[in-house]
Amino acid sequence: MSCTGRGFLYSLLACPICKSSLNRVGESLVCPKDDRRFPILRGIPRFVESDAYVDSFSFEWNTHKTTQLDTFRNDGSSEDIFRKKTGFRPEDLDGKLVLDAGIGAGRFTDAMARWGANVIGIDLSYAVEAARENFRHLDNVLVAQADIGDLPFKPETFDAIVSIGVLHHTPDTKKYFQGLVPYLRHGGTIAIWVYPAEGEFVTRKQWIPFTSRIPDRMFYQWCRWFVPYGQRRLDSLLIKSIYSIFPFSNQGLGLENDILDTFDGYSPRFHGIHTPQEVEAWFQEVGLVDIRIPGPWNTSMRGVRL
Amino acid sequence: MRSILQTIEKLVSIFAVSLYLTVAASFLILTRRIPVSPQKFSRKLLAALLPRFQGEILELAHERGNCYVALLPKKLISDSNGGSRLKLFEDGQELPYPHSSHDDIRELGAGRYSHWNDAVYFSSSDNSDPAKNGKRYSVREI
Repeated sequence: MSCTGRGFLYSLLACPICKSSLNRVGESLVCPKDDRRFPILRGIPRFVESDAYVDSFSFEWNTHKTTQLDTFRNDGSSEDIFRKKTGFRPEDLDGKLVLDAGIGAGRFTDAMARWGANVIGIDLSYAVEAARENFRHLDNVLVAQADIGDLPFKPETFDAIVSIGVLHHTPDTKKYFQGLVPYLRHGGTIAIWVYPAEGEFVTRKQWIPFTSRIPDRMFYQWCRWFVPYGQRRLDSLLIKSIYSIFPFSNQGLGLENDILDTFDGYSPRFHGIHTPQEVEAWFQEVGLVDIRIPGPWNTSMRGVRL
Repeated sequence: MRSILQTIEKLVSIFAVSLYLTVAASFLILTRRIPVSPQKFSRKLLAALLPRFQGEILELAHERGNCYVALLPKKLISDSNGGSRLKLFEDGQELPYPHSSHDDIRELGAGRYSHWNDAVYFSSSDNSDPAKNGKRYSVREI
């Protein structure tokens, strides 16, 4: 079998429970061992029944399907961030099999697909609908709805695994990170970025028990009003005071990005923050080697499986 | 009719969420979960009565990426305790992005800066090394 194309990517899907290869029967994938069925809805294999604790991501990525994708922005901002957070260059991933654990709308898969990687992007949320729409024309990308903690693959499947800005939104960042490593081939690289325990991330963590309870649509309407209002008045004493206790996004990548990023920063149920030392210890515990911080972010880290 | 309903929904959302966040902010401040305390408030008040600080940056260190750090007097009110009034100048020109996140300073640079605790975290306008680019950096409270 050719090691490229969507058919090949489909062939890598396995039962999340017993890890048996799945048979395609009509619009379902069926486990031959226990006859468990996983439906393919709107072109997306589904290994979960709902979006569980990540409903805010379902909302935000289907509202901002293309806001952060370079292909639609006509710039290289996401690719640049991806390079610096993972240390990967195009030649590292060309022809390689990569898992994007927490694909969202696909801003980083967009870059990897352009580089020639074969990418399987999974997400627990209905962001997969947006990702599927963004990549339906690409044969080297497969999107599936699945839980990072219960992956539908056999161990040692991927040449590389990336998870940028995702694991801190799970109930246990360390456990979910370490759960990814067995799916890496020996000699493969895993690269992650998690929120650092510094600056505005610390402040935001205090807000999460309150802001994550606001209905998504209401909070989003508020962000659409407040972010442009606050950005226009950043020099006023009132907005400065608000900013110091409620930091909102001002990344210079456009207003839509800042509205999305502010919503994204306050709406998720889980918001882990971690030190570089803590992250490095997770990598060491599971025996990864060549551990390093590839760029300017303290808590972006990569390592190789022996 | 539909657009009127949408406008009403939007206004209700803005009002209700603002009210809710104000209550939440009061709780977070009073329980000291976020760093604004009466002590800091009085410090802020005192700082407002004192002459505004200004000075040149003569010593600095590379932090990470495009970010450099220089120490400032501890008496100044920074963004970590109530909203800095500090402006950073490069050869007399005000740099464009105060109150930036430290990750944005490290990654994007381009004149972003933050006054945090007793230091200013900053980047030069062209992401060159401010210790070597021959430009003069100064700060002034406004």
